[in-house]
Amino acid sequence: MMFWRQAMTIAGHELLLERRAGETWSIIVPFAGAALIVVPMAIGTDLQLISRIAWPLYWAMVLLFGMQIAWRHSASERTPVREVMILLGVDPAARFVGRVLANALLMTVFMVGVGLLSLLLYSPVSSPGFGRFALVVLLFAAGLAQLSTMAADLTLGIGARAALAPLLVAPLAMPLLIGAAQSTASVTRTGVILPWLLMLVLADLILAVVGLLTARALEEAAI
Amino acid sequence: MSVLVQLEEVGVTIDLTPIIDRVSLEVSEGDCLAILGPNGVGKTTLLRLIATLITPSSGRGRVLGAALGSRAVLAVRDRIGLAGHFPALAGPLTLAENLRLVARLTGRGDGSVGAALDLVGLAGAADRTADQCSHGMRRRADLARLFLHPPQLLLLDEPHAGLDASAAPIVAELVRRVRNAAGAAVLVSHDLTGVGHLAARRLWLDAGRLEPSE
Repeated sequence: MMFWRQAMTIAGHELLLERRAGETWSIIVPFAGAALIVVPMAIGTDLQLISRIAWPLYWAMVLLFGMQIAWRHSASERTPVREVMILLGVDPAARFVGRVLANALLMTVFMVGVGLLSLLLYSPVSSPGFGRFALVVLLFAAGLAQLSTMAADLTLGIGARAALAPLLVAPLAMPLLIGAAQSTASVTRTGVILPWLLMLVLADLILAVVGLLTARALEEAAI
Repeated sequence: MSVLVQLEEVGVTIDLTPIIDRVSLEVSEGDCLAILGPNGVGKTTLLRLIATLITPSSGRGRVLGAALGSRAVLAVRDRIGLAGHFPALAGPLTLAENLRLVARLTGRGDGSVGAALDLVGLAGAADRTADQCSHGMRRRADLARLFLHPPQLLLLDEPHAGLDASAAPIVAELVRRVRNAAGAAVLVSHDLTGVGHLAARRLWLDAGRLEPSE
């Protein structure tokens, strides 16, 4: 009971911080939007090609920009705040879960927003349907939130964090990227997405176990 | 009276640089110890060591019965209260919201936040964000956190730095409450005038070594 109370309190705290600082909406979303606009300009007037690559591009964009949500400045607690959490006896696993919940929620909203922009700009040749798309987005956001939160802890206090964290996350996020991209593609190709959804679920579960088991070690290492 | 902090020949080396050198000290229930010394001699490091945030490189130590460097410290950390140089506040949040986080994480009601802010003279600034407050106000809010969740072992780093004269009784009241509740306080400062009247014992730290203060 205490675990979940702490986790939900941390999640609420992170969301309140984001509401005040607004980094996701004022920085990350505009950059992702700009990237979506730049790609068609680089491709040229081949509208068919743009429509065909719409979903793969979407997943690449949400991977690269979505991970930034976990590392936004307001979320990276300053050392004194982190030390107070430690001295209040907050369970590091509860802190991990709370931050993941907040990051996953922000990433989900971000992905829906970028998805709508992609539909508008790219007119993709096919659509996976709202229900399936929502399920894939939720599973992808949960996995990316866990991975990015772990990377945030692992690179805390490192000067080259902005460069190092994406290098850590990008290769490890491949199962998520492949699962999400193939889920979307399979809807139109074969209609069978279950194996890809299972891949996403499995990746999420593995990340959850690793995140919970390493939370204390990462916290102690960051002191 | 039971011993709350016991260090025996403890040393701390950070990045191959020795910061604390064979320090021994004891702090018992009801004690208030002042550790004095100029800048850069290891006062903050010693305080963080006692707070279990640093593991000793040599020697042995126990804090609230838990051996430093062991997993036992995890069980006693919530009885340690530390206020460092930099207030532990999230800038975009109001003072009340910052304290509400502490209240909720420690199972207290939100109602206790107003009383804690009142004790440090910030009742009227509860809805100001920490970014909008002066350094002195932020330090007061940090002290309010310690009134809200009173520790058994109180650790204050330069407790009067950034505070005006009217805040001195707040620090004194915090120390008094902790001592009266079978706790102890360790204050570190470069300035004897601020902490001298609060501390029953004074030690002088120089180049990582502790000596009795005059």
